[in-house]
Amino acid sequence: MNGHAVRYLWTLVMLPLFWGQAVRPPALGAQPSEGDLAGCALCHGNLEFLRQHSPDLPTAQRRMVSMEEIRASAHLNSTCFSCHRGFDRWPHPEGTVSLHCGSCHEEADAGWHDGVHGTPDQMGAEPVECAQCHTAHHTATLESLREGTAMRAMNGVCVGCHETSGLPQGDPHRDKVGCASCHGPHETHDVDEVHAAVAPLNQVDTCGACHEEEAEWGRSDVHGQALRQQRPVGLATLELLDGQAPPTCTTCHGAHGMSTARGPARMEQTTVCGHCHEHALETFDDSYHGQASALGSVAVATCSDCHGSHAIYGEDDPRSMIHEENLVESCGACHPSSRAAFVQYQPHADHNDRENYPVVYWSYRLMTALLVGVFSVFGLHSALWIVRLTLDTLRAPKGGAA
Amino acid sequence: MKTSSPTGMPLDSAQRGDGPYVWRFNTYHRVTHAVVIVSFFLLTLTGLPLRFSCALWSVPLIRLFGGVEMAGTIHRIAAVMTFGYFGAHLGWLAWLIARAKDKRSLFWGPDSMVPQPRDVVDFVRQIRWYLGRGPRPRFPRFSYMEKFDYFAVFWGVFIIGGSGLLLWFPEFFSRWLPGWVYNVATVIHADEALLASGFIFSIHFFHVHFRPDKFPIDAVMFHGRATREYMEEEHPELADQLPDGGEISRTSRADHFAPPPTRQQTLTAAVLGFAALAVGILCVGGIIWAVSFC
Repeated sequence: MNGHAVRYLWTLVMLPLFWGQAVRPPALGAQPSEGDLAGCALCHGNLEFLRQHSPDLPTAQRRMVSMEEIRASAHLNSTCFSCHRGFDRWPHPEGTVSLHCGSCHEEADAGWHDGVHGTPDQMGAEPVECAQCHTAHHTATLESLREGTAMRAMNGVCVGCHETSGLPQGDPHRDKVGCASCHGPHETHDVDEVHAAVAPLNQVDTCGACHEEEAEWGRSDVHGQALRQQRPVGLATLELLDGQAPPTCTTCHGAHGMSTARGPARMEQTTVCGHCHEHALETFDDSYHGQASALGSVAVATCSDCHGSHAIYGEDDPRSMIHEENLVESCGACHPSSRAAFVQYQPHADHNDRENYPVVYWSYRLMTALLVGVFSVFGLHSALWIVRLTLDTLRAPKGGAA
Repeated sequence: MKTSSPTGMPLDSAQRGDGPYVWRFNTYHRVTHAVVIVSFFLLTLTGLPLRFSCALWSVPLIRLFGGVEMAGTIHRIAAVMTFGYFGAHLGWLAWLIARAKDKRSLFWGPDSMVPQPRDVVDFVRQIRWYLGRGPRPRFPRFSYMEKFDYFAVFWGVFIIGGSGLLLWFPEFFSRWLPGWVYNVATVIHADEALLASGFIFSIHFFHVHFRPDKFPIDAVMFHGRATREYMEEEHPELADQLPDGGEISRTSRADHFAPPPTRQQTLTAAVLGFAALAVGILCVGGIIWAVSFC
């Protein structure tokens, strides 16, 4: 006799003991005893039995409960009947249904109802049920979902549907942060919705939950203040505003597939900042910093080295890295013996701006005149020489040019 | 033996016509010119990509030199070479002056490198000759174009080298100079260098490669000697004073007779000359590209 047959016979023998009576009345919040679990497990741990009493095999399989799963679950402190009300009699009375998770988890339930997963989408797809992410019994604890295997497993569940949204290799958040940390666990919204945790105006709070210091600066600096003056807009709307929209966290850092600050992102700074600060980019490109930067030097200064990254203020603000009181220190990060005279250098000098940069303007004009003059005179001088020698050669009867 | 070009003309226009050869440039001149060539190309090729960092060719070119940092190091090494030959030349001049019996002729007269009124006259005559209103001017030892070339290097080393030093050691010079000097130095360094490279790779190359009577190359600065016929056409006033015969000098003494350049020397000079020509023309192409499309 094999094990399955023994267990099936055991269920048949034990079943009359429970016939027609309550299987221990549950006390909500009480530790479920081994007896409770054993009572239910008598049938729900026995696939052979369930199959006999179920319409088909998949249903029987769904009704199977593993005791290991229950013991690892966040619901360890509830009994089976806390959720499966009325199932404490056997045979289970007709019409008894289990409680919905939202009966206890009201807040999560409300968020879920608001978010994309609680409502049928425009394509008509069914709402995503609690168990699809949490599984029915192996409901991981909130703490465990924030890190480690449980977090990664949960991310795997998200990526199961959102196939292209997994974080790529090299993304600093990969395997370290759960999808839900940024997108919210239950009140998940499409990224272009105003209420989404990743919507432009909410990013500073969402990212700031971990990156507190950066968020604090990001709220007070010029970009943060400009952002606050925006009426709540979705991501799509912000993109439509194009050059006019103040940057949010993801404008500079990207979202999925972001890179660390010292990596390629550093080289993209000029493009990102230059998207709005066009004139600053033009004059930067004319400077040694810009030229070497364009050729791939990571050593030379780029936007954030002088202006800061999160605490960016105008040059008149004493908190600004480029305030005249702070310039010696700011430039000194790369130019150690920087001094007051040294920092009078104009990193964004515009040789076409006579008003603000007269010396550079006139130097440039003078040099251009010199170039044009020299090349005109000598170009003509050379051209005429060719003409004269050619004419002489043509006219000379034989050989003997000039 | 003369090596001919496909046109039937001698490959090297300094070898045009028949014998005898005279020394025009000594070993010091030729070594200095070679050092100028090497350092100038290194400076240009590592500097142009920075000046035109927006151009398509700038990144591949800078990678060829091992990246921006390495190119910067090479640029500075070539700058040191430049200051080296410049200093050596000042020393050479001092030695020339100290040694000369007739010091006046170094500063004035037909053998002097110093520009003087007759150069203006020669220039006017040259223009008249272009226009068919007079004979070709008879140049002395150095024509006004050669004097311009010579002092252009002085000017260039002074201006580009000076502004380059400022930009090399900005912190040091800021003890005495205000910061906006570096803005001006950047403009001057870049544009003066553009002037220098553009001038060498078009006007100077015209004089030594593309002039119909010099085509395809004038290698006199590589092997140091030229035929009597060459001298009579290029520097007739000097040629008139050359002796009719005499001993052949093997130490490249000025105006002494010289052994003809060997085939080996001619070919080496031609290969070096054409290589420089090719690189220079590519640079001019790159500059025109960048100015047009950036």
